[in-house]
Amino acid sequence: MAPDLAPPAEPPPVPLGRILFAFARLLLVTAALVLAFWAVMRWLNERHAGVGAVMAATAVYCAMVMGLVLVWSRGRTVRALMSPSQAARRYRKRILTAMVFYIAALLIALDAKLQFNVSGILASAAALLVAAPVIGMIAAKALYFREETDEVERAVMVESSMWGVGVVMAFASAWGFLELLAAAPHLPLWLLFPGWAVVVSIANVIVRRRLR
Amino acid sequence: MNNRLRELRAERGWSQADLGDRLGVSRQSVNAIETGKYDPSLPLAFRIAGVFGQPIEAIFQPAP
Repeated sequence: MAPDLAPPAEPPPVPLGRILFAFARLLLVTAALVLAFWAVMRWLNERHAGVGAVMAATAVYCAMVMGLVLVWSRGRTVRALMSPSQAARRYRKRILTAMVFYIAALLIALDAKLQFNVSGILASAAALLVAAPVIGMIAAKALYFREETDEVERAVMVESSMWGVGVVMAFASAWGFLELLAAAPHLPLWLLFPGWAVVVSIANVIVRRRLR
Repeated sequence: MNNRLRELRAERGWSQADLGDRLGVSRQSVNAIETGKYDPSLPLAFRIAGVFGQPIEAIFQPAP
């Protein structure tokens, strides 16, 4: 035994300030993108630019959001917060692939609704086409839990996911009763999954920092 | 749970990443176990014991 021996030096954890700065930067750029998208849509509607122009603007907006996510995830701070395991890399690839399909499905469904005003079975098919990549993202999470061999990483993801479920369920229950009893504006159900994903991302950073 | 991971690593001159490679977990996971922020499962505790060639109870002790 040699208690006076020191093990090799380890890299220091990412400072909280740098994490907050990275999130604030993403928030600012996203807000600027949403504002720009809103302004472009308003301008196109005022000019009665037609479905083609609206679709093109939506496609450009989606591409910019995807680009933003890709650039952001390449940053040093964000990479230091990501799980380095092979299962996590596969999970991120699957999520990005599903996002590309989601955007494509959304554009196809919007076009079917706006251009051809589909209804009945076709409208249901268009709706389920958009839902399919979202279900794919949930399946990617389930696969990750099966494939992850690093139990600490899996524990981080499980706890973050439970935070997401808890916060979204609590919010949805409260909002549902506010709609029912206090005339709160209706929130579409499809917002639950992105809301869950946002809470999971934030919880992931907090849980990960607690373990480091 | 208290453990002697840091001391055992020091004896062998291994970094957290070196131990992580031997255990098939990330450096961050080794750090979480070593600092007592995460208690490993029984299978991982056996792997750690195997890597250091010592019984589990010589590496992990219940916190007083």
